[in-house]
Amino acid sequence: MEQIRKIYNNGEDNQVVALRDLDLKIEQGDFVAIMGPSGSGKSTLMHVIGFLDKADSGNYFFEEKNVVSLTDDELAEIRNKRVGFVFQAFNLLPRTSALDNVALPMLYSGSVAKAEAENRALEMLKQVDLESRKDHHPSELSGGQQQRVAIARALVNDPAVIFADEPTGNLDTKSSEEVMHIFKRLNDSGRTLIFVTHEEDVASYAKRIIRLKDGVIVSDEINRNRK
Amino acid sequence: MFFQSIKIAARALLLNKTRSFLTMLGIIIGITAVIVLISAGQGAQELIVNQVKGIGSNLLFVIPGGSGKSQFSAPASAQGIIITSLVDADVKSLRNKLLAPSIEYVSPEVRGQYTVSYNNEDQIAPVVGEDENFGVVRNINLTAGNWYTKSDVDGLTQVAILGSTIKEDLFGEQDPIGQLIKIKQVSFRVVGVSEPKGVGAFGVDQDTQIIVPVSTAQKLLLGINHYNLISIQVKDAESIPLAKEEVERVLRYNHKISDPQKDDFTVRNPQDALSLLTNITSVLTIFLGAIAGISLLVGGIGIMNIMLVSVTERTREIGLRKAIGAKRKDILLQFLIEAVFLTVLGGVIGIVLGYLGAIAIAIIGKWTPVVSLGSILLAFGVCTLFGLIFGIYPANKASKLSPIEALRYE
Ligand SMILES: Nc1ncnc2c1ncn2[C@@H]1O[C@H](COP(=O)(O)OP(=O)(O)OP(=O)(O)O)[C@@H](O)[C@H]1O
Ligand SMILES: [Mg+2]
Repeated sequence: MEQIRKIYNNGEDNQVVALRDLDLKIEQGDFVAIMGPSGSGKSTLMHVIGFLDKADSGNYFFEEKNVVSLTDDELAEIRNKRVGFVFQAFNLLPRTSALDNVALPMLYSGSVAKAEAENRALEMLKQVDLESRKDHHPSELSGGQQQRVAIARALVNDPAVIFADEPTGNLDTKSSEEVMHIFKRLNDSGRTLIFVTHEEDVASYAKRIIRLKDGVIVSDEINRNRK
Repeated sequence: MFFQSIKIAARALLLNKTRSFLTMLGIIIGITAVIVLISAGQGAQELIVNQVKGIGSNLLFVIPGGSGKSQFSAPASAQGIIITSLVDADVKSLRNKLLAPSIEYVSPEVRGQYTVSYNNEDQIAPVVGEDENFGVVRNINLTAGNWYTKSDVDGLTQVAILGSTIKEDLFGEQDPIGQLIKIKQVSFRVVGVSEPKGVGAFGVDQDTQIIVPVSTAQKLLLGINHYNLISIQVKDAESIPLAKEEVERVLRYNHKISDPQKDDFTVRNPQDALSLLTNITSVLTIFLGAIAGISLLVGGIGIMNIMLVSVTERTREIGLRKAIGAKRKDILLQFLIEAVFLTVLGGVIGIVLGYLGAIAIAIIGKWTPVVSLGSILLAFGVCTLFGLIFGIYPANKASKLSPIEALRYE
């Protein structure tokens, strides 16, 4: 599905080379955990392959297209329709109901009628077991529930790939397990999942574990003792 | 697509009502202040200008007693000293076209304050003695009856013309024409009622006064032979200086005065006093305008601040919206609509409040409210411009960031 090779650096005095000519190929339907010490470039890699940030050099092919040559608007289109992103900090809109938060991406996907948008959002909340909380604001939800709302939001436009940067970083063990179970189920239904984590326990849900250090891949292996 | 953006913007505004309200408040205050202040200045000026027009631009007043050199110092008669220098002979000389060709009408006047009664109604009212030309000279029209004539003045007839307020006080709805009233126990027949004029330029309420023939007032009420004032109507405004010289020459001759410093009379042109007043109000208007300008500046800076802060603090929101697929134009349109909505709504509220404020001030100041389109456009234009620039500029900056940079923004 992809073939990447990219350098990421900040062209300033204190420039950091976060990804050093990194090659990576991820097949459709894969379930990948990215691990590595702090500062090794995991988030940077996620942002680049998740279309949130641009690489400074190299090529990135997504579904046969070279992403490097795409315009900002075309990238926005991909972010909206083809992929979903789950953040460590949830990033829900405050003072907005769970349902409206989940429906938010559909505001930017052109002609989705309000009724249909609400139906789909409600459907997604059901998938993460939160339909009873649809009218709650983020401040009225636990961390685990907020993250599940964020996952529902990432799913609402039926993406092929879901990216998650430390999705369980702010959650306790039980909530983490809930989130990973949802991910596993999503992967079982054919979606590609790529996530970053520090915890071996969380990583063990993945089919494949990639380890980074100082912007290079130090190991890339199939997870043999998968949960 | 556009409708979609309106929905997004409306939702974002409702999301934070306090912030939306505060943003609007800056605009409301700026616009209200400017409209009220400019209106106050213009209203005051218009009031003065109307009084200038009300008095007539071709009048001269002759007051008994000299006032020395200064144009605006009070003549002796105005300081409570009784001066009897203006007499009937002076009026006759001034009416002589050979002696004073620029003068159109001369009308002598005496004044007093008396108890006036009709049936059981008692009132203390100013009574002025005037001649038959007074109505023409001072532009006083009657709503009922007729002016008394020269023969009434010559024959000491006991007739009276009532101001509209005093007529109301004594007679109510009843027709007063032909009725007898008593002034200082002397009977007078009512022959006319003057139209309402309001408070005149010098604070005299013309509607409460009673006008009687000047000779009757002199002999039967006051028991004097001199006049308190001679009003002179000149052909036209341009002839005022010439007429003033003629008056001075005639009176000095009559009173046998050779040194102008020793004049026992003073000639005043109401225009002189009023041009001074007009000067004062012009300065006032400039002053108010300056305050309004400062309010506008402060309001503008307020709008700028709150827009900058509120858009900047929403950089994370912008990042999130971009991360889930908002394009740059979606973000820009959202903030443009938000800014337009806030400034226009705030502007409309400001205009309404400013208008009401201007009316309130006009009621207090007793002038007609003037809210010029110019001041509305100026206030609205400046506030909207600030609102739009500082609402869109930071949003534009934020929309150019990559989603992740915007999300990382603290
Ligand atoms: N916006 C930035 N400006 C400058 N340097 C950055 C920026 N973002 C990341 N870096 C640097 O790039 C390197 C990789 O950062 P990255 O956030 O990808 O690490 P990470 O592996 O996600 O670490 P963590 O596990 O702590 O989240 C680090 O050295 C970091 O200091
Ligand atoms: Mg990270």
